[in-house]
Amino acid sequence: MKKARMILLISLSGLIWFGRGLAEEPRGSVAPEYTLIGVEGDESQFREHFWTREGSIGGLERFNLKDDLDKKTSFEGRGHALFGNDDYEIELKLSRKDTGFLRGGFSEYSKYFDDSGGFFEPFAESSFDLNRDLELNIGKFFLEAGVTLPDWPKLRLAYEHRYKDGEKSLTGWGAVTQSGMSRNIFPTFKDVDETRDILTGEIDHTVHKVKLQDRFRYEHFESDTTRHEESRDLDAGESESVTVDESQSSDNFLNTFSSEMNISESVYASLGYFYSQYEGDADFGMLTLPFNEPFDKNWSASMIDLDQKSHLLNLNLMAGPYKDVRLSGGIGSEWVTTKGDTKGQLRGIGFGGNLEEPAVDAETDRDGRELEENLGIRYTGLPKSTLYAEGRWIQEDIDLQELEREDQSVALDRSTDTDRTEARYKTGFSTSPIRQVTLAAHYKREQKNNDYDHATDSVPAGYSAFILEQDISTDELGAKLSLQPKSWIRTSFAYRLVETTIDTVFDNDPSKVSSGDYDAHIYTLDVTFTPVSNLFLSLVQSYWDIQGDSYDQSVDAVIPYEGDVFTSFASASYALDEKTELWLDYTYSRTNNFKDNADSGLPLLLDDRLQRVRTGLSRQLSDRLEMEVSYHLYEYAGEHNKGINDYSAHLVGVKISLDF
Amino acid sequence: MKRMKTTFACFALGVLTVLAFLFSCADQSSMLASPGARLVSGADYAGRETCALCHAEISKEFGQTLHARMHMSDPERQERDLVCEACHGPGSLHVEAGGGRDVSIVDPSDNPLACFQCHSSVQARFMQKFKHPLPQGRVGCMDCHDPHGRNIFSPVDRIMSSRDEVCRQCHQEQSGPYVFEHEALREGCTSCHNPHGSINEKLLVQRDTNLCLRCHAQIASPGSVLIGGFSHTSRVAQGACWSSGCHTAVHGSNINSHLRY
Repeated sequence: MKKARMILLISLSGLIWFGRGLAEEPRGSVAPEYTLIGVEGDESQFREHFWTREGSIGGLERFNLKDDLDKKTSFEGRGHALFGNDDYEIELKLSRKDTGFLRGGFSEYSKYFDDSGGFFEPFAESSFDLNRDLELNIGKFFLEAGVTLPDWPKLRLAYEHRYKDGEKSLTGWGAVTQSGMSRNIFPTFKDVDETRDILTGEIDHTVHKVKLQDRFRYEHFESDTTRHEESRDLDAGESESVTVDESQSSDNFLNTFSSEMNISESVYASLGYFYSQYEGDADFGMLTLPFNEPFDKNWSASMIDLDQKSHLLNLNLMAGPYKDVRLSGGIGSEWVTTKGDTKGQLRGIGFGGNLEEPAVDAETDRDGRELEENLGIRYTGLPKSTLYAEGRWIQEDIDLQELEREDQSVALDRSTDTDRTEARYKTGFSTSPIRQVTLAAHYKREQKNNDYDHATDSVPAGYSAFILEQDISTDELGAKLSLQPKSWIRTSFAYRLVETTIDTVFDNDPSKVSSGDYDAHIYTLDVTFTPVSNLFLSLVQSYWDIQGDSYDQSVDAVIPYEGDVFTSFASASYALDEKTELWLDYTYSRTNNFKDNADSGLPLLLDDRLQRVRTGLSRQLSDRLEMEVSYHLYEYAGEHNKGINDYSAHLVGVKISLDF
Repeated sequence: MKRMKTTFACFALGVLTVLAFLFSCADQSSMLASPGARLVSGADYAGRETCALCHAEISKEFGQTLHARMHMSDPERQERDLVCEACHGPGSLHVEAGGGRDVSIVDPSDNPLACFQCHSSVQARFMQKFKHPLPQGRVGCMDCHDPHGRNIFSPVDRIMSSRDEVCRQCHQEQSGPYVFEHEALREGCTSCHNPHGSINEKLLVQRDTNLCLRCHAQIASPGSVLIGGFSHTSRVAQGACWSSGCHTAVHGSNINSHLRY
């Protein structure tokens, strides 16, 4: 059906072009392509890494067309269609100067997922595959029309239908048990059937130098998903499956009104109001098979209601430049209310093996008010330099009421008042003291504080409201030096230091503890080199040195995150003569943060490398015809899981480009 | 990995040494070419004023954008005024052809190289195992960023400006709202995900339990993990917190306040 829609659109565009009488010479190009990919090893891992299937893929790598139908009217078309990889795109536009335009299109591509889960070497069966081709089709169809009459309001109306359909992997894996030891390594997946219908409209008009704009957006969202989880007992040879069905339907209306004007030559102001309303309902069903063990659950909820309303008002001012100084500032206020209501049944087997079937009625009511201010200054008075400083501050107050009854008895009654503040500062400069040198540097600090006051709590200590206060602070320092000593060589070297610390007050201790931190040193080198006119060389190298800790370092199951990630990309192109070019590129990505803590936990870190070599030869056969042949080699090798996902892949391709 | 660090340091030092040599015989007439220079072969720079003849509104508002803070005014050096062409490439052929989308001009929404020429560390992210399909051309930088906008984190046709609204455009199922929300969503999607690329599946910042414990782990006696007053010591040995039905609903749950299912 989707392919038929695609072919119909292509045919339509062809008819428009051929049927319009060829008033002038059209301008366009088309590039038929055929590739053959062979994979040795884990095909699904290859598909996920490179977003492509193996086997034969052919079609149009690109096509585009621009044709002036008359002096004021033009037609444009572009896209691609690669069969074998479900990768299609077409966009058509008919426009008439000072009148309007009509635009439409369709696109679809696939996202692929590996079907294996985790790896635990001590088990007799160290890893599992689902033996399924996990593929999610993602696409959209759109139609847009606009009016651009001079001195009239500019109008735009568009309809878009987006969809996702297929299966995807999840990282929440099922338990596998052997000799009383459980590790979550069994792969899980989800069926997804999701659609979004979006209607948008926009009207722009300028009245007495005041630019007025209104944009609305209506979205209807439908989603049906089924999550499949499985647990295995290797000793008993038994398995348990859990299937979770969720469906959701929502309507979301959003509208923004904004006005902008230059109050004077150097003062610009804008004012905006945003309103959104969300109404959604959902249901939930869960089936555990077999349903006979303690903690097995068959929860269900036939009525889930969600409503959200949001109002946002903001005012921005920008002034300058006044003698090389430009100032900007703004203030915004947002009010969001969210109500959630669930009615269902928590059918499950209790600790003692008894069946429990309480009816559950949960209600939540969230009321959030936020105020945001921002201020910025930019100075360009110093020779060949720019200095800037910016600040952004947010104060938010959130009242959250949570009430959950099980068989009319209160299971949870909590009222939480959250004071949330956020401050971001950034300052930096960019300078070029001599022609060949540019230096830019910045410092950024981000500080967030969440202060939770549980005025009412039927569960006064412990789950789930056990965090009383949390600070998240991030400092970032960055510098980049760009050099171009000669016209044929350009390079830059960048360094970035990022330090994040999380300090928390928990309900079992009034002191603030450092619950987590994350430090990264990031180095990037970029060189572009053209030693002779027919040779172009470039290199991008990046190295991340990362360390991350969380509080519980005394437990062997939780090990600090320490990692080195090295990525390199080198490319070269050489013109053999005026019509022939040879090119080559190489990509290398290496991760090394693996620690084997299988005795006490599940090793989840990585020791692997991914490489890709691509080379090709292109030849201009005539003024309008070019041919390219290419070969790619892909290789992935992982030591952390003894190579269960390793692959090597080869691609050969041929492409012809024709300008017409 | 120390060897890797040393290799990288030696390489960087070597490159800088070569550059130092090259500087000693630098040609003073050479121009600090704008990054877009090699993107349109055979074209010359037309200058900002020429671009403004057709693209008046964008040109007028450029001074208000975040990208403008990298622009240095220097009347003696005309290349400094190559504001538009720094990203879109030299525009003389585009002007001669009478304009038009993709006509002898770089459209960064189709060609991420225009952005990567300055944002090379982001380019490196897209070379990792898991990434949004930018190298495959199925999304563009401008689907999430507006290089002409006052807020660089907004896609061009976005209705309001919050960073997570960008993610919601494609990931509504994960965006909520929920009956029971995970407060981490208030801190933003990038608290747990690297949107450009990652070594971990689902673009996660960290794949293991540290991702959760950095906010949720309480003080406990050595050898135990306490979360919400309950010992999770044996649980964390099994794997990540969001596995096997424990806290599967990481973004939020409509049925359970502990974010189970």
